[in-house]
Amino acid sequence: MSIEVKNVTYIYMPKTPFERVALADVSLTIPEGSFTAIAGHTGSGKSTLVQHLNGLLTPTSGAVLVDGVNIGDKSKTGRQQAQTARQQVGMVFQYAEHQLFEESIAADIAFGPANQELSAEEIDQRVREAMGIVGLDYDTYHDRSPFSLSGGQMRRAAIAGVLAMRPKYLVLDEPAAGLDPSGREELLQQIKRLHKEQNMTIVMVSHSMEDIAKLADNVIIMAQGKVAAQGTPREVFAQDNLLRQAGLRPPQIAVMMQRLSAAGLPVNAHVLTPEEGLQSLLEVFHVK
Amino acid sequence: MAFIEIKNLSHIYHRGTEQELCALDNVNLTVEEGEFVAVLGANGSGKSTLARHINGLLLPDKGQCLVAGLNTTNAEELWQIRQQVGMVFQNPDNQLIAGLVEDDVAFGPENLGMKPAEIRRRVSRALAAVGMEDFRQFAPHLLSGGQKQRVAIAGALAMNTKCLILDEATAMLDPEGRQEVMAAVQRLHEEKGLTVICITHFMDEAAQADNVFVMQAGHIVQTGTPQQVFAKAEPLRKLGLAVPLAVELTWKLRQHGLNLPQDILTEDDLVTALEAAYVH
Repeated sequence: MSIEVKNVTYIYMPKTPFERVALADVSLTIPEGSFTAIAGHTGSGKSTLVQHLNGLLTPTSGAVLVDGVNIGDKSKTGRQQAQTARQQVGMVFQYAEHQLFEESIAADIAFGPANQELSAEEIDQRVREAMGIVGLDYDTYHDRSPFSLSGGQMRRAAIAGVLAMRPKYLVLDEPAAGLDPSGREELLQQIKRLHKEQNMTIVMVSHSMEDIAKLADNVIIMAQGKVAAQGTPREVFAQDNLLRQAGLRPPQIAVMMQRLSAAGLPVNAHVLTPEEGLQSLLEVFHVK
Repeated sequence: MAFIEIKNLSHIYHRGTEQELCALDNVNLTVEEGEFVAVLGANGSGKSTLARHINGLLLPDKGQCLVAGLNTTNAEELWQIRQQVGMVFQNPDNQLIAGLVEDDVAFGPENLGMKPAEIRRRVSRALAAVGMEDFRQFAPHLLSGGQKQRVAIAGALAMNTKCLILDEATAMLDPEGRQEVMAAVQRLHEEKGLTVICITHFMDEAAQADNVFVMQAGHIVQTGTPQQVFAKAEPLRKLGLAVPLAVELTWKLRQHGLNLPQDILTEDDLVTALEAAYVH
């Protein structure tokens, strides 16, 4: 199963002087079980795209299918099914910690499940489970105010609120923006574990080609409201011209190795991570 | 006297409540006119609180903050300080208020009651300085993140600001936008002698600075040139920070016995050094 985006066009403020086509006939598939990264220049349409994945925006034309169900179905017979399908897709916005509002962390995480009218025990269990997944110890934190946490912890609490809805697909818009390097690393490792251990399908919008190279198995590059490229990080980052046209650049290590290669050093110009870069340099310089 | 002098500065949030938090604890630092400094530190270490003292958005609970000899606690001098210290925040969408780029840049000078001809002159000059003169008639929402941040910088320049504080101004930008903004800032620093205080989580940006301050839990725990600060990766990691990629790679290559200079900071430095090492 998968999320399928079929010929989706989205126009902001149609029939006004401000009319702008944000997505132009976009078709793509996000396979179940994948770690899909979406990258693109500001205004390339990536945020508009991810807001379609759980029906926050309705396509001007085209459709979004989650596990085969059209999530925009408004017919009497399909409406219920469409709603259930939308709930399969959890959405973590940029600066998710700004959405924390309850007095305690547990109450904040319980907000979603409580609205689904689940039993008290079920809600409690989900809160414990979600906190466990994001690495917030239940006994230490459940009663504390979310506003007493550090930036990275607050963001993890916000993600736990989405996980408590038990989505099958987790969409994260720039989850690591604004975090310090270790907070960033910690959060990304957590997302990686969600993918590996919980088998959750991850869709991550990111400006960091380094993070994408390290984590994703499927990359979608957006440019001017269209899909400019889709493939594995290795395939996509090898297309230097295409990336630059899309306003992006390969990971820093790849750029460095390309420069060395252009200067005549026999290094591997197609590395993706610093570890691969180091390996190639050690071989070239015959040091162990 | 230094351009910015911070003496024994303490700042306490929510004083006298359960949430009382000492965000700055007896901080001392100086920044010379025309200097480019970077401030590093984990989330919650006090970087933004410090920045907000420098243009008087926050006032000291203890100690003082002097800018060009003016004291932020003096209400009359505060306005002069704000004209000299411009601030660019993280979110490009929260800072532009007018319907057109040129009106936005003119907002500050207009409020000072300048003559229209002078305002126009300042707006043109400020937009040219950040390479945005072709966009003066654009609506801000049509700009990219990097362009919006450059317009925000132009807004400060139109006030003849002497010092620019970037409070994680590139955190929300794509790689090209980051590059654009940092190139504009570097140019203003080099050509116009603008004093720059850059708060960032990107170690490569800190590598461009003359001096780096490292903060932890309201204290400045390390000061030095980027070479000095990035020379030791381990203490930085313990503070939740990292070193630039070029520094890290150099360190690992040296550990494996490759003879590289110790003062490598940037990608350019490392590429040059590796080319030289290969020729030998």
